Amino acid sequence: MTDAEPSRHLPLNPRVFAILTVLLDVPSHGYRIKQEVEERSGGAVTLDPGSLYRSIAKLLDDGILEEVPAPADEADVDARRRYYGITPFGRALVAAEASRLHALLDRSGLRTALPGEESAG
Amino acid sequence: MSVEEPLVVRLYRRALRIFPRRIRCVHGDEMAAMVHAGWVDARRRGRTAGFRFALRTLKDLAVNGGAARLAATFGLEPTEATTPHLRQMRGSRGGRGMEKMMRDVRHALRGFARRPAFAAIAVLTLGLGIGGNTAIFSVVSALLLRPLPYADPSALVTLNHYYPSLNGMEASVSARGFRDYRSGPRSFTSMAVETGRALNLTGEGEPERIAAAAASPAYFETLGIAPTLGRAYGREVVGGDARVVVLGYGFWSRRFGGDPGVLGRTLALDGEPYTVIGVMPRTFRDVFDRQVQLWVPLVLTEEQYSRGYTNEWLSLVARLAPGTDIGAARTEMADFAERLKQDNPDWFAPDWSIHVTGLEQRATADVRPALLVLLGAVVLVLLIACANVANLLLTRASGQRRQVAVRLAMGASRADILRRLLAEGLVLGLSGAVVGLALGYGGVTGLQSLASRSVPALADVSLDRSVLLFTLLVSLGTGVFVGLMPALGTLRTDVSGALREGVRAGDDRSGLRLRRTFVVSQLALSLALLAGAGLLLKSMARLQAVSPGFDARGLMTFYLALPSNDYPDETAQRGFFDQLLPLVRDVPGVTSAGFESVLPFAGGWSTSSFTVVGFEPGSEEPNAWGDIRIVGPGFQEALGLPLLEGRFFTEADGPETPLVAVVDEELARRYWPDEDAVGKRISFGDGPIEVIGVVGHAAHEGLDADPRVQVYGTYRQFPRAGMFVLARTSGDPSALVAGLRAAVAGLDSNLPLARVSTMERLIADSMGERKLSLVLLAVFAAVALALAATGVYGVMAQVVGQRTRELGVRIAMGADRGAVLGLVMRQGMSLVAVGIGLGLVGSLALSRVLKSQLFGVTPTDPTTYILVVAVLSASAVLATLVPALRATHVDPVEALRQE
Repeated sequence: MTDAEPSRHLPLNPRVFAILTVLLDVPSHGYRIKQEVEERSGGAVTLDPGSLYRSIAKLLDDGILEEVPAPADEADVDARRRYYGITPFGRALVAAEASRLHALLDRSGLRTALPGEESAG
Repeated sequence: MSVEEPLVVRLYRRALRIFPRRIRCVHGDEMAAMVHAGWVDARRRGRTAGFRFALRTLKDLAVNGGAARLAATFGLEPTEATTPHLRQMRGSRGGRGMEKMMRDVRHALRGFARRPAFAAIAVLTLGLGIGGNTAIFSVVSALLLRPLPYADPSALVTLNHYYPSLNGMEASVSARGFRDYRSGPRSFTSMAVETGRALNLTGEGEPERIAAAAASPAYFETLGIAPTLGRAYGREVVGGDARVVVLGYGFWSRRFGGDPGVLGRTLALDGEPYTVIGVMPRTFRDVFDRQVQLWVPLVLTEEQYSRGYTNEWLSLVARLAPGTDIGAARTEMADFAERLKQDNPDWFAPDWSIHVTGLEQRATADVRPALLVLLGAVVLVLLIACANVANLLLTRASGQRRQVAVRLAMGASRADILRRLLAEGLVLGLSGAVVGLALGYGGVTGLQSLASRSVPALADVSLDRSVLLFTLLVSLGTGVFVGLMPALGTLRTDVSGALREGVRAGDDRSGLRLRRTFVVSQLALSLALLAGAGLLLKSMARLQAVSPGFDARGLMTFYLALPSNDYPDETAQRGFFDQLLPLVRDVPGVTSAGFESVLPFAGGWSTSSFTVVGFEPGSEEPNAWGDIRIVGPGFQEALGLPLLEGRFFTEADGPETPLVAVVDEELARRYWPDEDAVGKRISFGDGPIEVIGVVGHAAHEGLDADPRVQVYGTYRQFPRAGMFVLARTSGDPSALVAGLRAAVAGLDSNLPLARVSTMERLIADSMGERKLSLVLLAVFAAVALALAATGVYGVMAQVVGQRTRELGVRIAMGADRGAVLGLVMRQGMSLVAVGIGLGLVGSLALSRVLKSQLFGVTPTDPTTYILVVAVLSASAVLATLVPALRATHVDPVEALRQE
């Protein structure tokens, strides 16, 4: 069951947010999601298999992710791997969470104080 | 995958079972692959990294697998997976309480993490207690509590013919009786009979012998269970087509792979075609024999109805009419039996009557006493474990008194402190539950593989929802108990006193008193368990020393049933066995061979009443009655039965010669006490049979059964369509099987060998339940002993710690070390004496519950008790000796300086 209004699902669990942002660009399989998330977060978010696949199962149930065929340009296609892509609803969810985080930073006045942050639009 | 996976990954694959099927099946392979890659990577970085990786994976499994499993089992989806719900919890007051509790739980976890050894011992101890309870409760739940798989099972009863003067024997009913009980009494709405039947399934593949039942048309209607596939048969088979068969679920899955297309197919059973019309549900099982795999209609003939009331071969099940209770049915059947006796005085013994037994009661009667004893035993083990852990926490609590006093002084409420202690207890209890569930699962699996042969009902046992709930409740109760016990002592802390005196660890009088109480009760409970185990052990030894009356070693047995199509008459049946005997004797390794219609320890029996010519039973005395065996030449030698008088059957005793019989020594002693039995006559109603010999008595149901008299006839005069074959060898009997199979196939390749087993195996199986209770009780007693000894050690170590200064003074004043040793030992032993004294009183009072489990031993057997007291005292002395010896090494200077 999908609740069509994304804001009702907020805030997103950081782990889930990390998984979704990885999938924004291109569908991917579980192991690559794990690597990407850990790399992008600089190791701050780790995904062990249990937590990764429990999240994926839940996101599939909620209509936030869907299983998709392997991308055509995939180099080493392993038939046993399942690929996941983000649904339109999932995209809306990520956008809503991102703007929530922005708003949070704006309100707290922290955003300007952060080093290296210019005007991330 | 061609590459062998590392052990870690294989273990991980197993552990994935914690995840619900849905996740495991879809993602399991990828998860394992991920762990594989991670493991390879971690190992490359060294041993420590590998260890750390394994720990992390374990935590991931436990946390996420546990959460997913909980979600799947109870339909609770912790939405935390996508969105944290903390916001909502923070809003309410209940949420604040919850948060506090969570904080206490975290505090407890941190505390245990700082003292991992302490935590591990406590969790393991509780796990042992909880695990034992989980395992035994799962058996109790499956065997005693789970309802029978029939509609409204409490309304189902069985009827038996009851003979008080024949050791209170309950016999089956006759066809004639069935017809009368069905039409006369008003207590029942429907009634059915069945008889066990073994059928040869031929045609497709290897011929197979199948345990089946012939059940009368009303059987399925009486039980109120519809087939899962097709239909069951009913009254239409009377006068119609009775060649139909209803399959059991297990047989259907095994033989037909669960194919729904099986309906309408034809099975060749004993050479006759039967049409498959239905398949029963998976949970359904036969009322009287759980081995039954298919049912065929039993249509009684006029000839069968016309046989006497005591021609007892049918098992009867009936459904009580609505509004009738079993008491009313009993009264009605008792009156009915009286009238039957008055109308047919020749048929019945004067004390004969009809017993009505509830099916549920009957189904559990055999195992109930043993199971309740075991359940009692594990509860004792859990109590001992609780006392041990409460002891551990008490020791720690007394060390924490100052800390508690400080916190109280600083304004912490007693409720806060209580909640914190409770949280510790609950964390221990629930962790214990996890260990306990693992142990319980292992225990149940172990039990099933050990004993499923002798106790087939164990197959039904599983850790289902009710067992999980039970374990949860037990562990919560345990947690509250071990948490609150020390709390009681700690909260009585006198704040100013504790702060002023600077309470030292171990200097806690009320705590010590509580700990002593625990140790005394532990010792008492252990004594009860040890005594129980000791009595069962002695019974087992006594039982194994009983001779079955024949030589069970080197004996191979199997059963052959001749289908009536191929062997239609007595001549054909006699001819088959006549030809088979020399073939079996010629099998390499066979030293002697014979046949017998009903084999000892094989579960079947055949009894009949008969007349002893010249013997007049008194008016209150029943007719002669006993086991009837049809055997053949060579049988007595093959079984190793001693010939005491006269001769045994030979090939010369045949259909043309006068009827002859051999009797056992029991019969000879009972009816011809001071005379020669050879030449005497007995009769089954068809003319006299001459006794030609007397053999020793062969135990039949079990070594602990009361002996019945036995009469042997030869198959050459009383042919049988089915016989057990006995083959004796001087070597390993199992080595004979191939040769025996070939010998039978040489005569008839369609004939399957059924129930192939060595005699020693059959005898061991007959003691299976007894052995199982013994092993379990012994394990529980050993655990109890170990826990009690630890308890004694703990308390005495604390006592010595507390008296260090005093002991130092004594040593400084010139007390020799022997005196100090004596001092401590005396203190310890006074504790032990009180515990053992209370235990003796308690277990003597409890011992009566064991009575039905014992053989050749009284429940108050003095030698057992003396031995048990000795074992317990010795362990307690050892446990006291260690701290006592430490006391003798107290350095007086050190001890005095400590203050």
